[in-house]
Amino acid sequence: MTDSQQFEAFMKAYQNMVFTTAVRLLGTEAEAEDVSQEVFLKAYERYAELKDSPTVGGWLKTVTRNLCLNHLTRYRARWRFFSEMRSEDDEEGTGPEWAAPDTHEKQVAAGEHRQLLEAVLQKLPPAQRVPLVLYHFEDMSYEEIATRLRASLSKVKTDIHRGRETLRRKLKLKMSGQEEWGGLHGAENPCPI
Amino acid sequence: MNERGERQLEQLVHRELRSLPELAAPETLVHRVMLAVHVKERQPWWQLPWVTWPRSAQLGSFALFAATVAGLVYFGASAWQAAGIGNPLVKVWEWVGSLSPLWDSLQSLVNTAGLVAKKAGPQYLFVGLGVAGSMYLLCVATGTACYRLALNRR
Repeated sequence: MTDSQQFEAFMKAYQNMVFTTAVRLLGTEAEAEDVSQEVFLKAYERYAELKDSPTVGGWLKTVTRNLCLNHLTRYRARWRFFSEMRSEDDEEGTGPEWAAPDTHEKQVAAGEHRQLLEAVLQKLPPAQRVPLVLYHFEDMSYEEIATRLRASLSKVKTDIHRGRETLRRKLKLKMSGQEEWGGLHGAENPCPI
Repeated sequence: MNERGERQLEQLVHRELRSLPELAAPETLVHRVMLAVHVKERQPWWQLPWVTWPRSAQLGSFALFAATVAGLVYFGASAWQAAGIGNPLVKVWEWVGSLSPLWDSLQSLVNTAGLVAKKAGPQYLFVGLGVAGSMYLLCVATGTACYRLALNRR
């Protein structure tokens, strides 16, 4: 197997992980594909030392995260301005178009629910989605997120809380103490938005 | 929402999000990257960044650059003289000399400040410096506030 073929196999093994991380942080597949390409080109430059490294997954994830955050920082003024100008009412209208309620019966499968959750996550305003993803997927603390995003701790907490509330509201997730449980762990269907 | 409710919401969302599987990368990604890799591999060495050039090429290019600069200076000065404008160094010195009134003014200002400090006591000088410093800081603070407001940074 040539180096080129080896690298192709290496890419195929990690491309989903890199792409998923990028999509969740950036919110668009086109930008995520661009960043993923950049990540693998960086990996290619260091392939000799990476190919046998046991921490290559972590390295790829960190590089992806940093490139995504750099990408967002480049457009920071723009996306923060628009996201913070948006009111709670506006957020009600930002969700994806779901099927009509009468077809909901067919969407109860877990796969469908995951697709909906993924779609709602991607539709969150960047100011909410980015810290939410860093907290829940990248296991960063509030303080680390605040430092990385150069935002105040209270703003990070508020944005994450708003993001969670939006997810709960749009997917009709129920917390314990309430009548029903939703999502994959309950019986509630996602609601039409 | 109280703290308990907040914790429940956090756990609920965490569980939901962590249950999400990885997304499938587009089919085109591998091809895009491999194409970019091949293009990079086929690039001749002289189109790559200078730091990646072979050592001999780096030394040679550096020597060529130094010779070019030296040649430009030498032949440029000769051409200058041949054109009858005179020695360029003399011209530069004349230009520096034309700045002497500025130097005199600066010297007068320092002497005046020294005289004031001697006659009125150094406290006036310190107060003056303090006022100037405060005004400078006020300008910096106003500029920072405007910048942050414009870019919506916190």
